[in-house]
Amino acid sequence: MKRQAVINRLLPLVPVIRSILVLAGIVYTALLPAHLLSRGHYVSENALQPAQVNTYWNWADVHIADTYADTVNNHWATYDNSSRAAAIQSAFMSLGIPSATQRYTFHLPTSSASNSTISGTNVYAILQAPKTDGAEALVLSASWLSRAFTETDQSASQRSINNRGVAIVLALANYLKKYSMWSKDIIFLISDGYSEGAQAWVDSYHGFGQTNLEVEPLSITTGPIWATLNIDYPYHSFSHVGLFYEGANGHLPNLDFLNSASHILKHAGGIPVILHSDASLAELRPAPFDLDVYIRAARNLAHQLVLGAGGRVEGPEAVWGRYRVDALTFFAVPAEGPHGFHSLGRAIESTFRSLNNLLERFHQSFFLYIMTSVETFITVGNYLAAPILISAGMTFTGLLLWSYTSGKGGPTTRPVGKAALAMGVSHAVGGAIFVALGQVDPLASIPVTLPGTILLTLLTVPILLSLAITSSAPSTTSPNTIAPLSTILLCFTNLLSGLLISLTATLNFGLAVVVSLALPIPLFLLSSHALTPFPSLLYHSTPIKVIRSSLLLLTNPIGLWALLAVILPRTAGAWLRTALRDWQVFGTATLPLVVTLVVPIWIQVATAALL
Amino acid sequence: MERRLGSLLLVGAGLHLSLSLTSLPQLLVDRNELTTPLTSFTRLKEGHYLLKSLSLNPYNSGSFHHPPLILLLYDLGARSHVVWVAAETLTAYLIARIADGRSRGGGRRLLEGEEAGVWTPLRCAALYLLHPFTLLTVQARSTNTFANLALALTFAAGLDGSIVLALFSLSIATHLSMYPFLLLPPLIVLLYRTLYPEAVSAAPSLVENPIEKVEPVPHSPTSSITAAPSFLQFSIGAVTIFASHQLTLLGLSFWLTGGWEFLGSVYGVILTIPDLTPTIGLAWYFFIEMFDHFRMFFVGVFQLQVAIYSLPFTIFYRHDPLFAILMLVGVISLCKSYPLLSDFGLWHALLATYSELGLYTSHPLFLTCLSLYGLTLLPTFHYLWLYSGSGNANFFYASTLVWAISQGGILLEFMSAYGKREVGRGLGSEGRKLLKEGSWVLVQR
Repeated sequence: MKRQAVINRLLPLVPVIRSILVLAGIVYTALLPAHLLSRGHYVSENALQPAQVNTYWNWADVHIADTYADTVNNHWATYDNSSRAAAIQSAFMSLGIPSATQRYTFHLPTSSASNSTISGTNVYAILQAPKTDGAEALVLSASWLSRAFTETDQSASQRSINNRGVAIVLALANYLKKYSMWSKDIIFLISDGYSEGAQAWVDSYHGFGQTNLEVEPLSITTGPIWATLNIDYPYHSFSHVGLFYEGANGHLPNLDFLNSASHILKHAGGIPVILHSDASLAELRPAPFDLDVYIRAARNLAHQLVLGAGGRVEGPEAVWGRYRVDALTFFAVPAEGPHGFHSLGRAIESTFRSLNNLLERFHQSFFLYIMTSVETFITVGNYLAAPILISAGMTFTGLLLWSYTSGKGGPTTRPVGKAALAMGVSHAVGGAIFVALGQVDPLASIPVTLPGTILLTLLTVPILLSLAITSSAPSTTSPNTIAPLSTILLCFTNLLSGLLISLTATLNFGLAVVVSLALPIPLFLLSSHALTPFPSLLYHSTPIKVIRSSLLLLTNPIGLWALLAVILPRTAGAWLRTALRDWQVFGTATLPLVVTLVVPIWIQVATAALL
Repeated sequence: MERRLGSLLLVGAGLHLSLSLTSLPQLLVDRNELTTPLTSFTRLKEGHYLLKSLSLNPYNSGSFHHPPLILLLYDLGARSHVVWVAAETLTAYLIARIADGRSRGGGRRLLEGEEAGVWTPLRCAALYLLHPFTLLTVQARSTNTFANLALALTFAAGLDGSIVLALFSLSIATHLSMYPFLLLPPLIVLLYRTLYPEAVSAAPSLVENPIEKVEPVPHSPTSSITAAPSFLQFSIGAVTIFASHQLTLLGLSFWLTGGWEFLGSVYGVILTIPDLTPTIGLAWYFFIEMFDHFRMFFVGVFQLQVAIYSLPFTIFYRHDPLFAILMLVGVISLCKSYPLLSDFGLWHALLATYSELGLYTSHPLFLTCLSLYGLTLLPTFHYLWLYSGSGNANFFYASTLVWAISQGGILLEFMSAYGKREVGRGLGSEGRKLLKEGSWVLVQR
């Protein structure tokens, strides 16, 4: 009785409480960049001792690196894949380091017997640790192509060649082999393409076969890889080093690696460090009440959230996370000066000396964090609340909608089966759309009929679904009152959304934030008829229903995309192709997740709106 | 009815078999939600390899914990999915028999208005056969399937009153996973009630319940013509039969393996939990945190905690021993040392045979949501801990806690629903009417 009384008191407050929770979530998200929620960086693993060693990389080595850079520019850049790989392999061999090549081919799309392929040849060399039996390994890698684009041909978005990155890896191979302090094998990897080569190499190193990847087995291998440092240095000089660390599907390397690397770059190399490549965000000094600091932190935060939500492989560093390898890219931001091989070489040498000290994999520090600047970060405990508050708002709404339907007198029959059926069908439709998208060849242009078909499907499914589940004859024999189907459906949808957001928050925070900001649109703005303070008459008139449903249709991600495809076919096609290519080559789960789990929520709400 | 059940079983078996042709079996064979060190198909293969190809005693390897009977079954060729599908289909059929037996026998005395909540045997069987846990367990070929079969056979035979079959299949179940011996007391009461209804109605201690007076049960055709033995005599007889079955099985195992090593490697492992491979249960985390010094004591407490429910449940639910069995199956699934989802699949299907209690539940949605959170968090945190490395053991432990709380909640929910129903029964139809109208309120102290 007491409980019933409490529920009765709470019921009128439902819209208020859920709005408060959702608003609190949004406000908290906006507060995240504020200085009071972040903390200063530190290195937790004592063994790392960042920038505490003497480095011996000097001008003679810089000269060697310059020579390699000339070779890359004047010879290797003009070769085709396989002869270039052979040339790099013989360069490693002439240093006395065992080296091998590996040819790979990705077949796209995964589903059909396929015609489009991405292929290339990787080269790698393994420097045996003089002290141990090669139980662990570190990787120093450079991809053949850089993340920077050539200035001459911006429109064709042609990546420039990572000439100095390749050169410094070779020069460091020559240099590091002279020292006997290495306790881990060092693998030098020159991967072909931009990220594909690294993906193929790391997959076959760990014996994991993607079905669409055809790859030569690695002829020489060593123990488990603990950490990877990737060098991207496309221009003759650089002003800052940008740290790139986001892995596929929002995976992050250990914070210790990131913090030691920035510490070393600053103190051993004397190089200013930034996150990613936006040099305007450099020189960020934390100050409690500085709007400028807040804005820069917010830009860093937003950048990382979007990267996480996309879950894309943004560079060769992103492919390692799947195998628990902590990976980082040093991107030498192209500039006319003042830094070059000398300072970068010292920093890399010092980083490898720190990594060499590790007795265990990185484990001391955080794996779940958001950088607000190079020197500050937000811990998981502080940021997780943002989407969780919104998810709590949804769960709360769901639970109260359920009790809202309990009859005032006598037992109530709730059409649970029908609601569950509608949800199942909508997810099956999502799955079908995903299968249909999977047939698109990511390297060719998208079929013209696709956006129209998707729009039509999204339009008709809620109508058919709402007709199907209401037309089955209601049993008039039962004396029980029957709860409205739309309310039950909305209740389940709210609960599912809450579950979805809180689960995603543990796996991929960026995606969780984006989903938690998107889902309130259908769930709260457009579906309030069950909880509305307004007369229900207004909400049950047919034109209103149709308008609401079409609004729902237009606000969902796939609907938005299909609309865009009608207006700007080129851009929309490029987006879809990128997403598909990421899924098929790198296993980015964002597209399947959104299409099979998030889009159906819109379908469910639209169905409920029509009931 | 029979025909519909037959077609359900055929469709279910077909679904199981067609799933086994996909890549699911390979994906699932080592999932820790579906297999444990004691029931893993991979370990079974390894044990067989040790025995046949290397001629070594697998029970000395330290990694093989299947009972010799399972090893024999595997050696005889029970390796393909067909065997597992057959076992699950048979179990589903037995579940239908149990549901049917409940409505035929004295087990189900419905109050007015409860008919709407009763699931047909067909639905109960469908719940088992199409339960995701069952579907996935068959794909993973966890040997727990056979323990489930033995248990279902025990309950079906118990409702039919076939002493020897019931006790024999309980011995098999005990032989396979040890904990089912806790079901012996309620099973004896169930058998006694089924076989000697007239003796039961004469023995007040078996009937009387603080809140009910039972009308004499109509004469059952299965009851023997000879004079009924007293309950004590019957129990001693049943325990003797059970013990002799058990001894035969152990003797057979000894003869098969040529030594007693299997005792330590199978039952010793179940009892002392040396293999701390993470499962969906709570034991692994409890004992990785434990100092060796205290280990034996807490192992004792842990196992005692499971065993302690058997007699109280039997005594409290002596007028409906099948319900006691049901609650004990739940407790065992929850608290055993190496639990897996397949246990809960059987339990959920058994709960469905008491589906009319669903009318008395108070938080069905909350418990469903909690179970869903548990089920989705288990693989997520397992991934975060062991694959991506972003989480640690505490993450996965938290998800096992969510799962345990949700299932424990369901257990308590059913017990309280049963209690509410029995109070309603004691009140008579007038009182129930007042309860329903809300003029009377049930208060739990």
